[in-house]
Amino acid sequence: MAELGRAALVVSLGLSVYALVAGALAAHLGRRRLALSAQNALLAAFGSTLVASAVLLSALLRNDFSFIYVASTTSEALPTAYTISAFWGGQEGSLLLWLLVLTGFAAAAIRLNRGWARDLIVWVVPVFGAVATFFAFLLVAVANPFATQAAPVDGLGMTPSLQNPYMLAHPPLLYLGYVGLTVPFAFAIGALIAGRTDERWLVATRRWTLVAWTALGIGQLLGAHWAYEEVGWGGYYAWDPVENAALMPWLAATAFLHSVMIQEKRGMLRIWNVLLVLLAFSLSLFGTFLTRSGVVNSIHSFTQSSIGPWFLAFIGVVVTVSLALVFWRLPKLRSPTRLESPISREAAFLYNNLLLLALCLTIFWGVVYPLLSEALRGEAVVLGREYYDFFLRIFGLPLLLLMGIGPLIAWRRASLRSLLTTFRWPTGVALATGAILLALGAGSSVPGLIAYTFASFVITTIILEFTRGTKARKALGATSWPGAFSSLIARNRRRYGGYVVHAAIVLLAIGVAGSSAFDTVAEAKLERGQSMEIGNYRLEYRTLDERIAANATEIRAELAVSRGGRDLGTLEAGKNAYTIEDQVSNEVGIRSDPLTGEDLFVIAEQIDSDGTVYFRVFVKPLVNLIWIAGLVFLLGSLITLWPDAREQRRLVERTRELGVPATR
Amino acid sequence: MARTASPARLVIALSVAAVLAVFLLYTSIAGGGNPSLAPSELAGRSGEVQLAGLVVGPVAGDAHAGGLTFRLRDIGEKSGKAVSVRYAGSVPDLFKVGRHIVVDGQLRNGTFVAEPGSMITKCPSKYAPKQSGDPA
Amino acid sequence: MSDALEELDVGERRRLELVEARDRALAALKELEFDHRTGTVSDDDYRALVGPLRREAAGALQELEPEGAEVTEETNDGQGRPAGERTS
Repeated sequence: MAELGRAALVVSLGLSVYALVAGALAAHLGRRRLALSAQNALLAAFGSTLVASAVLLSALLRNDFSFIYVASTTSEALPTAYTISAFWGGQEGSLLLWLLVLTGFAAAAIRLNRGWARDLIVWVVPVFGAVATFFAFLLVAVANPFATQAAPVDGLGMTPSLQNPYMLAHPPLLYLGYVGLTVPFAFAIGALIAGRTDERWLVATRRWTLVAWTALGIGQLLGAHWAYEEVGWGGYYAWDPVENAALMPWLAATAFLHSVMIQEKRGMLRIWNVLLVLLAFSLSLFGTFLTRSGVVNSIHSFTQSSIGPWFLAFIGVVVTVSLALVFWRLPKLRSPTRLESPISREAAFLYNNLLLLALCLTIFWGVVYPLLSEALRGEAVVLGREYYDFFLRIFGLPLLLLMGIGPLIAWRRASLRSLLTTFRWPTGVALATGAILLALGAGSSVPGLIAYTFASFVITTIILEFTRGTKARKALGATSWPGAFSSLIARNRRRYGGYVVHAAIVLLAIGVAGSSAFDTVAEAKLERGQSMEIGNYRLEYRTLDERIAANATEIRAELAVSRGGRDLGTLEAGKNAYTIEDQVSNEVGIRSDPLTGEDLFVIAEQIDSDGTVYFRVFVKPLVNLIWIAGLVFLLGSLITLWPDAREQRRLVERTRELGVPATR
Repeated sequence: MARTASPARLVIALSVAAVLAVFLLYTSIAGGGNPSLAPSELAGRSGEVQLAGLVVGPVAGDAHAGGLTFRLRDIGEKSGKAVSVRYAGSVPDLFKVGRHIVVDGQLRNGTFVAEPGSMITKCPSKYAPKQSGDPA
Repeated sequence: MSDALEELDVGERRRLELVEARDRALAALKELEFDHRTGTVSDDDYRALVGPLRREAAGALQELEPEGAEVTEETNDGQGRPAGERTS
């Protein structure tokens, strides 16, 4: 069986190389049949990668420990769902997942677009082929998922804290995101090579970029939720390199999503957009590399890792070749349209881009600086949490404010007078909110107060946009208010979907501000019967229970929670001792208040043999807004992504005018 | 309608300058981060550093009452000098003898006195490191 | 059937760019109308912006139909529903 898997991967490699070489030749020489064969090679590469994936999956499900990979990531006792998730749990499997999604997306993107952008597709195929070749090469030559051994009795098992529903969905979503960003990259490079200056590559890849960006965003939120509940130190983001690995491409993709709107509407920023998509894709590769190569720990573990140097080399090649292409096509890329005013929607989008990039680059610097300093001076210098927090505030807070300003400024140029009228209400509401919050004690954290004030500004602008738009549609002849509202969104999906996404980000900002700037913490060592207080909560430590579960011994301290004399029920916090893996995990107790959105977060840090427990308790205000923000984010994305019959018809019209077939 | 110099270029240049200025200001005020050292490199170093090493026994004491004491040796070394560490605060679940951990603090009178709550365990075989410590 | 790849010739490529420019100008006009109707763009700003935009749209249309076709203003002018079915 393992030989079948390995053979399938070799076939994938061969097909990818063919797609690259034949595709490039066909495009250069203009040979249709050769181009078609290169396309089919990519499709076939998806097929052979699917076979290889099926082999690995079946080996996992059969607990076939003769596969070294299966033995190192699973065990007999592991539940089926987590056994499946072990597919991407290790280095080799995650590379296989990358290749599978890549070939799948490539095949789909090409099939969907070859009817109407044929001259562009011929150059996109070799780019996909090149990326697929890299991953297939790694799988065949460097990180083989099908290495075998004499089967041991049982596998090593999976880290207990990874056996969590959030960890089932988190990596695949991130991979959808990382790989998804390959599609706009391939089309951009294809358009560059082909010397195309039209916007078809943007139109073709808009939804791909959105899906990838959404997947990356949701994936990160799930990861944060896992960290909050499972790892349980009281936070949800630690600026760890593997966390930053996903944040950086997401920030670059956010910038890209905004700036392509400018290119679509004004024809500007062509060079900028190509550079941005190159950055987003490179950061995706870099993110995969960071998570997989061990470079996280130190530069020594990097050089010892098998795939690290390969990844770095590939990123180097991608960046160099892409920049060379941009330089070559520079004359064609220059657009005649100019930025007319520093006070315009284009300018607002530009500031948005600059802030997002600044944040992205400071995070990048924070990740890379320890490695650089170690390489140059022999001593790694690490940048701590304060570094990231500072720059998150400096760049993030203006970004928050900008979300409320951008949509309300006119394109091309806006007069200061019109700004005063437009922003009268939002500014008023924001200042009032700020004053009220200040009176309520929010002055304890200046960044937190600013975040809240800006958030209320943005929310007001969003509400204004929805109400004014609905009113306008009603005036145009809609039958009822709900009818006006829904037709408003239906006719302007991207705009209003975008507003919903902005609302999600605002919720996220409020949740983050509340739970990190205004939280409280208390610690106490309690014996049975003793109580502690935090905020206006009172916790009484009642009993200590020990339970035997399938693969662990569970110890739980039970606490009675009350607030202002009212009984709020009980909470359990403790630890799990896993027998096979010989590990202990923290099991925190969380009580979410449905009204205020705050969490009472209890950690049983240390449980002594006499039943005394050292508790660490947090009150995290508004933290549940963060998870709610994820749902709103998904809703907004769906609205924006939803197929628009009108837009389809327009595209069909346009290509018919040219005499080029328009079917998708 | 053509302008001679696009304000976009000016805006970008000014913004880049502003970002750099903020960055330089921050690093000059808040410092450029702490060096990450192995226990063998610690001797004689003063000031706040990050120590990364392998936990060796004996582990004694209570991190929440008086402090947990243990020793850290260079990763990859079979024997050799180990630095004694005194730690108070949250201890990550994965902490035990033989683990690779990272902790911030200062060398004082031959003992590395750790910043409370700064211990992080690294788990290089899986892709998500375990951590504790108060990020708030 | 020949083995040569169907490429857009220079004329078709230019036409594609012109079509995109035309659609962009028309979409910008429609968006300006929408923004004006919802109150984002004030009357003064609208008056200042709509003229150049209309000229731009007319220019793009003319480049596509150089036979001097009548420049019908496909988009609305603030009254009633827009004639062209386009999203903003």
